[in-house]
Amino acid sequence: MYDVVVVGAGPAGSLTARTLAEKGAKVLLAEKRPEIGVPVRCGEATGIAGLEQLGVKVGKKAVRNKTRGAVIYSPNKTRVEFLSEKPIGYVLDRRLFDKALARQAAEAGAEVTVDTAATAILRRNGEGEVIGVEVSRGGEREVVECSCVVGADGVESRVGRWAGLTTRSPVREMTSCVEYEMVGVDIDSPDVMEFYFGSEIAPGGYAWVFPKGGDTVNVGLGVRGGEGSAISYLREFVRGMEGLRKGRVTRLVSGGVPVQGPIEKSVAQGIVLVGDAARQIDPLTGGGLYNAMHCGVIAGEAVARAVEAKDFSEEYLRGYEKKWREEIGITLLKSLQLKRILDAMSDEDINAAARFMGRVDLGELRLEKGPLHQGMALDIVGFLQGLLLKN
Amino acid sequence: MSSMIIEDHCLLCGACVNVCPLGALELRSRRLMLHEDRCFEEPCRRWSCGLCSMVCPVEAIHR
Repeated sequence: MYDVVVVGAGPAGSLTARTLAEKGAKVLLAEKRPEIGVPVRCGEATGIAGLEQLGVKVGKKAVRNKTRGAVIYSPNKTRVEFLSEKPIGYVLDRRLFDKALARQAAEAGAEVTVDTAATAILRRNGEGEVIGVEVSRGGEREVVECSCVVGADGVESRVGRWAGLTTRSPVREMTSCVEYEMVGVDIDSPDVMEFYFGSEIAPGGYAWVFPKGGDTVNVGLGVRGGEGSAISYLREFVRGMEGLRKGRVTRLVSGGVPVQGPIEKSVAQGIVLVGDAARQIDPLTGGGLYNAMHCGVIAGEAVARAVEAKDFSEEYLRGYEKKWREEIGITLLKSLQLKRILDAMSDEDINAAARFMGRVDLGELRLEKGPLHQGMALDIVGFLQGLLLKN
Repeated sequence: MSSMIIEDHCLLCGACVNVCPLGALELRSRRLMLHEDRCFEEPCRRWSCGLCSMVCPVEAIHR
């Protein structure tokens, strides 16, 4: 008998479970895959400030590389630099990072299990309060008793669907992403991330090159609309880059990032959704790691209060919803507006904006409140657009 | 290895075709075709991303 079952051991689930366990709740953190952190579905870059803010300790092994900012290329290759003297971001090894987060949850007292897929939520008389989760553990059907279920099960959240909280994303709001890990490439600056914009490179999205140390990079892109599949654009992009062309692909990941903004409602009786399951994804950058961890902590705190009060009603759990919208809602909304503006910009518009901006000193900007705190890597693009608006 | 299952009630709307990052789905002569050799991620060939099933309006494609 647990107080809470957290479904999904990604960053959102692990932070929720850790926070709950720290506050004394009995928690089971259940991962459907046989290995936590696999497969990686992420560019793996994030900001150091965001991790520090959340008190997330990152072991040396989980950090592949440190970065000190980004260079953004407009369609005609006008450079906009967002650079700092000192490292401000990490390129992570998400396999090790995710495992480390799950381990922290375990050390706080959560029970962790892999190869355990939730298959149904059980309610009293079929529709009352939550009384458990049906799982398939190593292929065997089991019932795990609990009073609350946290769905941290990603963009395809089944918990959200069972609870009637998540709906399908319209195709025009779904960014189709693909990424190679490549070895044996030439890198100009080993500590700078690169972003490329343009309707021929990545319509409706952008391409990224994140250096992972040595001659290894993550190179990927996301597209919405466009003429072909994401991978056809990626192949073309790699062919067009002299430093990348001679590299070898050592990993391919694909997936979707919904960019229509967060879900309307993230709680129901006995149910809480967190991370990508609640679409706490920045609609402009597609970044979700920081928000997932941030909201994981908020969810952990709120559900721990519910455990103490023995009240898992939707009304009580709304405290979580209110809090996360207070903390990240405005940023998400701003990003959504900026995304719409970017969608309406032509290649020429972006070139003109890039010419205008030239160079930005991150040492100054990172002190400000705003997107740069929220996972350097991808939100940097959000900030670029923020500047576009002001000018 | 799992495969994607395409159900008979597929509407042939093409949502999954447009969104598939790997170009593994195709509408041809009023049929939805899955190119299995393009689906499933290299080099491990173990996991499909499931984006097609996420956008399907009638839940006609799933793992």
